[in-house]
Amino acid sequence: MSVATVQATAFEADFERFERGAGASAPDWLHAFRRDAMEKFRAQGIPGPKHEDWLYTRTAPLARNLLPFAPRAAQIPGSLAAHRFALGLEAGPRLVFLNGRFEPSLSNGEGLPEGVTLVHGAAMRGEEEHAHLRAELGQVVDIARHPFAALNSAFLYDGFVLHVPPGVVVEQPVQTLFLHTPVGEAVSVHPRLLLVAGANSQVTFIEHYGIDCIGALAGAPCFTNAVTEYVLEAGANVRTIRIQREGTNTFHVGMTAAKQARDSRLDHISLSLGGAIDRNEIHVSLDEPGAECNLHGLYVLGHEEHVDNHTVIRHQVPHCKSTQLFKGVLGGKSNGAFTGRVVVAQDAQKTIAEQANHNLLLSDHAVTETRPQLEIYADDVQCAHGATIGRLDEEALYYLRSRGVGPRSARNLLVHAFASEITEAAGDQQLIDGLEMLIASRLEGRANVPEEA
Amino acid sequence: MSNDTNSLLSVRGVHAAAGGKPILKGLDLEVKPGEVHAIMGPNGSGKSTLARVLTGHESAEVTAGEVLYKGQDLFELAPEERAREGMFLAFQYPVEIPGIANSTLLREGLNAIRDHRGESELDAIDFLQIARAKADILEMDHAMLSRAVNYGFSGGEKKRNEVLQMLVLEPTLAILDETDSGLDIDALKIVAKGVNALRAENRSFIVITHYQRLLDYIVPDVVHVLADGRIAKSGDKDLALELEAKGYAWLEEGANA
Ligand SMILES: Nc1ncnc2c1ncn2[C@@H]1O[C@H](COP(=O)(O)OP(=O)(O)O)[C@@H](O)[C@H]1O
Ligand SMILES: [Mg+2]
Repeated sequence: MSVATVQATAFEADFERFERGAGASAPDWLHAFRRDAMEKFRAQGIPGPKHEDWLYTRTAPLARNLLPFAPRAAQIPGSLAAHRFALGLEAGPRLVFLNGRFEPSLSNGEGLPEGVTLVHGAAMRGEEEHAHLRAELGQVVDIARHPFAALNSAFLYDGFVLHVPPGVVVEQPVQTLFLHTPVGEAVSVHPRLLLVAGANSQVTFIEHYGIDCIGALAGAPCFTNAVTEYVLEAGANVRTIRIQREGTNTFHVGMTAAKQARDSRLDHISLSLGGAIDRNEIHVSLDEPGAECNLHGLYVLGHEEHVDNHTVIRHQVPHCKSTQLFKGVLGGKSNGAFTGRVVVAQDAQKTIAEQANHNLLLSDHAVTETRPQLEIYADDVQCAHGATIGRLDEEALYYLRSRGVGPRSARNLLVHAFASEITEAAGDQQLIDGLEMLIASRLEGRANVPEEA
Repeated sequence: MSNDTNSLLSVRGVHAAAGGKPILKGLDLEVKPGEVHAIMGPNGSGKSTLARVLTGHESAEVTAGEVLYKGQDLFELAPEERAREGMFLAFQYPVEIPGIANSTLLREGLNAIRDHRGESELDAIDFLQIARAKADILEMDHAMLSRAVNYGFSGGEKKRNEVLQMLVLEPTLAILDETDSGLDIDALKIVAKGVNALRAENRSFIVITHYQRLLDYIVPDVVHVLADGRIAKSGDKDLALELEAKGYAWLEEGANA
């Protein structure tokens, strides 16, 4: 019997418990939605080692750590109130989820312009007036082909849906934090997010997966299985930053799926700052001419950490552009993989698709793997890909040290220099500084412990 | 050879190899506080190797001899410790470092040096004030401070940037390795102005150069000729003029005889 079958079976019981327990009070549509998703998960099981899309990630440890999903009110540690929120952005709209549950006392809905609607928590599960969610959720991600996304849908409990109406510019970044706090046992969570950016709207969205500020969970495994869907209507301009820093012992599967209409633009940064296994999957469908997406990724790993970046960009029509720049900084015995698939449909002439993966190895035992997959069915296209693996420039290190800079600082300066191409893609100086700070704390070995206020 | 305890730097019988090949073969040099020493010599004679030995570059492998700097064993010190003790090298080939601003490097370096001396760290504003004033001496645009270290700089800009770093870090022993090479006469005068602005009783210079020309502007106390891995001849500034006129061939013949 394969691992997949065993785990799928084990999940049946957990699912039934959830449906009768924490997930019981839900409208009929949501129960049906979950059952349908569970059916699809069952049909696929957990992908095995031979699965084409999972070559670089052994799913066995993931499967072993598919912990029970038990959302409940968490005791909020006193120190959390003093926690400096992600990227040092104290102000602006902020949604905080503790152990997969919306936490109103730490959240702040202020700063959203008129017309922007935000549905989360119990409202997402209960009220009839939000029945439209049934049609909206799952319109981008294909759960029949993505077992973890199916699992996420089966356990749909909390998260949020953000609608930005046409023409509205949301000035302040909207940020969400998903934190785990000690509840006495390890947990799994299945956050679900949907952002609908109306025609010509503009919004910056930050998705931050962290760990509690006292680091008490370090040592206990947790499993996050998140799905985020983006719908960009014509001319929408969306900037998204996804930060994963749950810690060395954690398992994270993140699915970001976007679809883009005419002339829309998506600028995405993903920052992976450590985890036992971190699967970072990004799917973008460029559905109408003029759509552009720019994906940036940075992963900074040590120990035996593993990150598997997996992107799929579909150029469905002519005159779309995609760029991808993923950079890895790999120390210890870590492993960083990047698979970038670009599919250019037969009619998608004048496509521009670029992809690059550059890796900096800080140790002899770190491993990096790059797999570009270009499937080009059109003939008038501009596609390029490149990959490099390098080490710290010894001459640059010596030069810095000859100016009095210690070897550790010199190394960190060079790593920051390597990473700066990614952080600068955040555009706004405050965001850039925030990202730099997170990288610095990772390099200082404090990845699990967010800075105290 | 003198074993003057007043020396800032005593190089005694140093042998060093580069890439497995012996380059320095028993080199002696005494530099006292406040002195300016010029070192001349043919290409490949080991001038840069000497600079690398002094600043701790791992490609220069010391096989014999000793160096005392401020009375302590130089080879016990890591490159950054030498810098914090006041040693500075203006590189013959400055390294390009994309992604690190000049000001970041300088501030990190200066604060590390200040910290070593027990002085407080400079904040960004105080630091920038100092750095800008030094840039003014060298007639450099302040924008140079925010550009990446030497990245995409012209040859002349790189050399000037080395001198800027020297002015900010205010070393006790500055080694300039062919800082004049490739500079036009105006740039050369500016570089000399930077060096002369630093000259002081307690500060010494080793000026490695190929051309006598620089020594019209930075007047040395002693001129040495490096040939066949040793100081083949030392003299006053007139030696530089003699070398310019006669070339190095006569020295090498002498050494080989
Ligand atoms: N890293 C190295 N590996 C091999 N040979 C080297 C290395 N560095 C210098 N050399 C050799 O050492 C000799 C002296 O070089 P250098 O000190 O740079 O001379 P100079 O500065 O006087 O022109 C040259 O023959 C050069 O080719
Ligand atoms: Mg040289």
